[in-house]
Amino acid sequence: MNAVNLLSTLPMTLAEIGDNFPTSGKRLDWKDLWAYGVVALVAGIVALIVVQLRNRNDMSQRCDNPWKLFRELCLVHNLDRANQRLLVQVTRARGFEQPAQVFLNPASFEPMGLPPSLRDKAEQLAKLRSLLF
Amino acid sequence: MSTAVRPLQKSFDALAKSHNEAATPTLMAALSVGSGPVFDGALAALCTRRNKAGHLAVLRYWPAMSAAQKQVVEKGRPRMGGALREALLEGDDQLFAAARDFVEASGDFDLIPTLVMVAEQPHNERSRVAIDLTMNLVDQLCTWIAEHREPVIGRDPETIRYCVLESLERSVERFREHQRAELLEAFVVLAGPHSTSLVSILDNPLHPCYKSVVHTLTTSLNPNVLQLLLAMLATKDAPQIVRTVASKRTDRQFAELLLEMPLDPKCMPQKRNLSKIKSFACLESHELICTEFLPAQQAAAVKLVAASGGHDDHKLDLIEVVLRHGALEGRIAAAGALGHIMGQRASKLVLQALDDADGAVQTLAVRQLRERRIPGTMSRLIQLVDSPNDDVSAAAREALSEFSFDNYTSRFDVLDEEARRAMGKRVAKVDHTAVDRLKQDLANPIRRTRLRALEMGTAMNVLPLVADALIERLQDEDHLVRVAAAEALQYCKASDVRNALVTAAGADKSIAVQNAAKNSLRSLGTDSRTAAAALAPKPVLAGKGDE
Repeated sequence: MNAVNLLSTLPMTLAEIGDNFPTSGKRLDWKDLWAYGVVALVAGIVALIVVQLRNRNDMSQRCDNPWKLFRELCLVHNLDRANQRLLVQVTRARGFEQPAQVFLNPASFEPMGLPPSLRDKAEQLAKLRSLLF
Repeated sequence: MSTAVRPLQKSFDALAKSHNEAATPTLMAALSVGSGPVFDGALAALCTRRNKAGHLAVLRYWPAMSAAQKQVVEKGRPRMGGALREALLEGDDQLFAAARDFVEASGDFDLIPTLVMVAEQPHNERSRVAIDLTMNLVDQLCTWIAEHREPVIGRDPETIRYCVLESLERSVERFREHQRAELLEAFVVLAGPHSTSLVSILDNPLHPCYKSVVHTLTTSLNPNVLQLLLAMLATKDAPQIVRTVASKRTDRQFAELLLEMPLDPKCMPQKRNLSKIKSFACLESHELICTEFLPAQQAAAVKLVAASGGHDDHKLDLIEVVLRHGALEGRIAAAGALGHIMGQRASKLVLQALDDADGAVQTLAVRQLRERRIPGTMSRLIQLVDSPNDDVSAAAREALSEFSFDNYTSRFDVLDEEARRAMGKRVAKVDHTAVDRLKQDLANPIRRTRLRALEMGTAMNVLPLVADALIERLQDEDHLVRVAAAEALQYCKASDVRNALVTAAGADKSIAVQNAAKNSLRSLGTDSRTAAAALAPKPVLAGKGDE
């Protein structure tokens, strides 16, 4: 019973250590630390995003990610944002199982079978096709 | 066109090297176009990647591929082991057939353990195919090893043999279960003559594989098996059964290889093994050897039988037939083989060989005459010295080497007159240096030697051949030599001999020499005075020129 009492009073005893030093300030409570916690949390989230971004663009890592492969091929061909977006649209329109198939299939750039929104971009598609094939 | 292809090639290069496993299904999907640059690129990229599923997809297209495409796939062979193994062991019929064709075309020895596993399966179409494929690969490997050729796969054939042999040895251990004699044959072929496993099987009739291995050695027409059998005959610890099989086989293929086997007299194991073989069944028909075999094979047959441990009569049977009906090469070998066999029948065959149409055969027979002590040998050899064939003549002279000028000179003084003449005539015939040596002795500064040379010349009956040397001796400082020379010249009929004798008869300061010269002139049918008159210069008639 004595041991239980001792354990229950131990945190209090530890908190009181240093109370009577001349230079000791006001005793801190858990409430005083919330700002530090928020900063740490934000920093963690930022780090996580950075790591995620790094992994996303690190093509040397072993993985099985069809869209990452798509991005890898976009990088190989130095495609700009507009072309990448157009290529994604073509891929989706064609319903390829593997997005990167669009890099190996010149016929997928033919206007036939594409939705009207893409058919209007026939000129851009032709340019993109000449870039990839 | 080339600029249009380049970006596509960049895509394939990236897909081939990508660490993203999604590249494989992407490339597999591209294969569905069936042909063209996209198909070729996808094929090459899949073969470059290490992915079993991708390789299996490639294998599915194997039957439809062109030669160039197949070559591209073969380049990826080192990475395709897993897919090939799966295709052989678990693949459907299409995959199995493709894998079989691929292995056959590329010579993938790493797959032999897998093929052996398939071959060991209960009898079905696939095990049959696996056996055939294994045997083909093993034969191919044996060819490389025999030709010391670096295989296209860039590995040492001996290293490949070691690996393949290991899996075949395991299969031999499982022989009781699978009973595949063909796998045993593959093992036998690759094991080589020094394999302890093979020797231990052949040494133990109770071994589970013994009967099958012996059956293989006895009946297989595989050149590698036949080569192994012959190679084992040259090994130190060749099992008895190997000698038995070698002596019992009668097939032509074996006979031809047996006759190609080099017989090395320095190879003691081979000599010992052959001496333990009593006969070769494939060489039993002597007539066939003469009619069916090439000259070189006839010779080899004779040599082989001579080296065997058969009875002399058996050897002589063959030698007799070959000497009578064989080709020249065979007859030469037969005459040579007689040298190792003594006895009356062999001597008879040697005499038969002496009458051979060819000098080479005669020469070999002549060399054996003396040691056989055949009656009449000496006179036959003397006759053969005059043979028109130089080799025969030389062999006869060699056989009569005791009739040398040196020998004659050393013994001349102890021989009686009759023996001197008998031996002298033979020496003159046998030693073709005798006349020159006699001339040298006639010019020797030692008086005794010159005198003996004159006696030897008379005994050898070669005085006409040394007439010029005798004429020179008429000027000898010693009158006894001059007398002997003058006497000896009575046997020489050359015209300058008479002139020299006439001069000696008239001008020599020694009466004895003059008398000897006169006697010789008389023997030659010329009177010294008549001769002197004939030799004297004719007086010129006075006034003849004025007329």
